[in-house]
Amino acid sequence: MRLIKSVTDWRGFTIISVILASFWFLMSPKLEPANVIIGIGCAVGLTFFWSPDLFKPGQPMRFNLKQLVKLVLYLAHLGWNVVLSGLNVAMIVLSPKMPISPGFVLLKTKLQKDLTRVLYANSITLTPGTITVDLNGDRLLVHAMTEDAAKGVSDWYMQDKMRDIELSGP
Amino acid sequence: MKLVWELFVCFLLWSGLFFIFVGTVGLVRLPDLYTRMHATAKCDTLGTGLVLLALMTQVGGFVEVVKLIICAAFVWSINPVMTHLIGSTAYIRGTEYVPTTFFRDCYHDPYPGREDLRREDVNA
Amino acid sequence: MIELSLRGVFLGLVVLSLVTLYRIIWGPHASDRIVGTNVLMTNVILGIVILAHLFRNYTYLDVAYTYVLSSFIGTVCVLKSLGKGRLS
Repeated sequence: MRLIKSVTDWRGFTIISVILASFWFLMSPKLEPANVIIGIGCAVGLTFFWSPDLFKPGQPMRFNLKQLVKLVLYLAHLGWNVVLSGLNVAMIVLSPKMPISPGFVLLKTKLQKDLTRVLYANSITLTPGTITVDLNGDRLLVHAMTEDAAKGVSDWYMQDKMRDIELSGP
Repeated sequence: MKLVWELFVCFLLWSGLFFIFVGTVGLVRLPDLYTRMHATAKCDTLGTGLVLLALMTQVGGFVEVVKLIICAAFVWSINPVMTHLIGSTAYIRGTEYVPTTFFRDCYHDPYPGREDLRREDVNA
Repeated sequence: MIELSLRGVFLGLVVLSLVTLYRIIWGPHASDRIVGTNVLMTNVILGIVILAHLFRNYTYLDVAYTYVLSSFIGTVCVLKSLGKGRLS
């Protein structure tokens, strides 16, 4: 009963249950009645079990199609940045002198929602010369490999793209 | 035409192995934990993605391709999260870093050394 | 040619895993060992997938992504016990 009361967002509940059930149906070899019943039961039961952690009262799960398209474009852009960062690390590591000058930078993000903050922290990790070490509220602690990367991370242009995705939502 | 396609797939495979090699060399060679995490997080993620992309063109059926895509998505989303967790745990425990490490606070004073930018751009 | 490249990449992964064992065994801190274990797990996943294609037995793909998830859970457990001193 306590778990049912803690579900404040039935639309998000449906979305997560459908994702879990589709994962089950992908893994199950054939569609039998027992398979279908166990899969749907496990998906709904697991979402009920974790609902106090999944659904926070102030932040309902809402998105529209425009946001989804922009997110796919963002991920494609991120893939290109990952290739650049791999080449960058290869150039640093394979050179005999290893020109590194590491350091920590404390940043402030403009983003408001938890999900976009986590996505932005992950994309900082995957881009040239920087990894996110700690994320607490709107503080990001970033470790930079070189001094140039530390200068560039403070107003990285992907943050504006992520802010655009966040603002175009409902 | 077929030969070009096969050469392209082989190029994807060997470049994936090259990036994993770079990650391993960085893991052995770099001086402290945080810089080692740079090498492993980026190069391993990229190498895994390239090898899985090359295998996606080789396996036959639709279900196998979807399974490989799910595997790649898991690796690409789990690897940065793992790096973040290891880094924050090591930072809390006070793991030492190389002595030339600098610290910079852009939270209270954005853009140190770049005052030509306007403050209104920062506080959007 | 592709079969030969797959075998070569598999051999390279084995050699690189042996090199990674240096950091796992002689790593100065526990965190270094965890980073090394993470790299080793990535190599094992790629090895499973390549073997699944070489043997034409695609049941191993399920093993691969179950291995990704279980390695994530294991590393999170070790890190939590390192950071907090307990698991609960």
